Amino acid sequence: MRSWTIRVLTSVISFTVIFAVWQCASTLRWVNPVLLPPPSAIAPVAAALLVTGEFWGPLVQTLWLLAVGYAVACVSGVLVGLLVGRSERAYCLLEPLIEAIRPLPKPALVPIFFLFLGPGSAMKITMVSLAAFFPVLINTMQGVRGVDRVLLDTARTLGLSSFSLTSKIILPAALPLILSGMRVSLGLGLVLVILAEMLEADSGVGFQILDLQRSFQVKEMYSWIFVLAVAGVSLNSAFEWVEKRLTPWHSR
Amino acid sequence: MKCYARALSPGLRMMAGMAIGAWFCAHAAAQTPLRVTYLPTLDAVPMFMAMEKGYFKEEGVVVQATPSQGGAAAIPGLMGGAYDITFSNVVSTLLAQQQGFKLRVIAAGTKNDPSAKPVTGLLTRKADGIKSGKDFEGKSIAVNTRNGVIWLFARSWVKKTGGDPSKVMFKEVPFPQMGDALRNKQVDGIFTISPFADSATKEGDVVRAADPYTEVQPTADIGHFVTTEDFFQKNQEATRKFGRALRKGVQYVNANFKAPETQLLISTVTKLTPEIVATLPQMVMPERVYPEEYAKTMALMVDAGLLRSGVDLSSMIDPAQTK
Repeated sequence: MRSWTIRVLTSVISFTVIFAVWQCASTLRWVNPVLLPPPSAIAPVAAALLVTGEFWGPLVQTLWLLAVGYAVACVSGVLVGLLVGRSERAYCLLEPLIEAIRPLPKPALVPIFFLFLGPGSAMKITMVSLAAFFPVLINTMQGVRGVDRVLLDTARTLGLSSFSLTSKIILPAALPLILSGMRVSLGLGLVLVILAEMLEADSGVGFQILDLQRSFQVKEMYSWIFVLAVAGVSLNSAFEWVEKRLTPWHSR
Repeated sequence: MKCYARALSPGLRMMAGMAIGAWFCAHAAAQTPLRVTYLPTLDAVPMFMAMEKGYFKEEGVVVQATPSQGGAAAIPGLMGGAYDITFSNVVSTLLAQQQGFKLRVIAAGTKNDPSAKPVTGLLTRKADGIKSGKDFEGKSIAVNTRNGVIWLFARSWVKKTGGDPSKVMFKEVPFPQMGDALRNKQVDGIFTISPFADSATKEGDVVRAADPYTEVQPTADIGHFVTTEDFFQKNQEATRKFGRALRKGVQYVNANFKAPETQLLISTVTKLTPEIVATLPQMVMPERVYPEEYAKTMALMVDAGLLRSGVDLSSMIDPAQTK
């Protein structure tokens, strides 16, 4: 309990310092206050955004696209990771292809997918899936290949079916790594959905941020960035909670 | 003899040093660098012509040009100090003024000419048969940036021709890519400008459905060059030099549009082939700014809910540019 209190207190103090420096920087014109208004000027605008509930519509839109793309990426990443991790043949066949595509910065592919898929949800979901797929795939692959041989031999001795072997031994053993990959994917997916919305959308948080920048409504723009930051932190915390529940044995 | 020579040489040395120093000073003072953004369309040709003909050099200015997508995209860079002067449009500049971005218009850029063959246009696919704003409801129109002049006039045209602008989707597509976006059915209409308005209609599958500028505000001032009020106050003479040299470029291009060197420059700036450039109608560029047109556009913006109230135009425009 004490360590939790200390952690919260440290966070509060560090945020306070950051905001204080920002306030000074803006008010004392170390930076151009038109481009970076002080927190005191942004706060009322952000409060209005939150209180009126205006932020819900675009946020739900963005999170929905993220959720669909993320789910597709996780399921396909785990399935392909299992295949490639278990089968040496599949590994030899697919690993070079994976290593070729993985390093490509996915944001750079947005214009290409826009050409093929046009504007709309399909393009955004595809981009999120593509970006989120690889960390899950790689981590699943590594997790599966790294399962303790003793466990596998024991399972074989006990006559476990292939399905039982996968679901009862391999997946639980690989779960910490898989979840770690999924957490990275969550962050990447959020980046891609916002980027896709900025480049091609008429709704959603990414669109709002860019549109407000285009009409120079800087305070409103920062308010939306704040909403995005809170959403990101919340998603991360929720994931951590789920992770702790699913892998209680895994010390962090 | 020897002592005379020795007496002379320090003097000679000093004079030589002063001459060289003066030459360096004059040379350094002669070349004020100005970082300018431009739209890679016909709008930028007078500036490049002025660079080619040495008009900027005569005034003692060196232009370092960077392309941009439009005023709405470039103004933040201007405010952040990445550029000194940016090519913007009346709408983006007025919006910025309202939000506290202090800008000053220092040179005219483009203006609609209702008497000439239209050089801008709202283009659609011929097969779709879209003719009015009402037809566009539920569909999309490409504009270079949202909240810019193209966007405002597209909206105003939709409203004027019986449509509800809130039911039309406005997508951002850079001018050079608009034709492809229309052909690939990524958008249903494009409001584009010279030279792309003409080059896109060459094959017949794309038609000009409307001329929003002429239909909404025929003599509208559209584009101009702006700088920050801060920069203007500190470097007024430099911006006036830019304006003077640019004006000469405008005069030259207006008088020699069909000349081979102008045609070649248009091709270089817009990346269109010389064959297509040869078929383009002339776009006459303005030499000065027309504040009365700004006032009309401002009224359109207030009507569209873009501006809360009028902006003081006299403090926004360099008086030297209104003559």
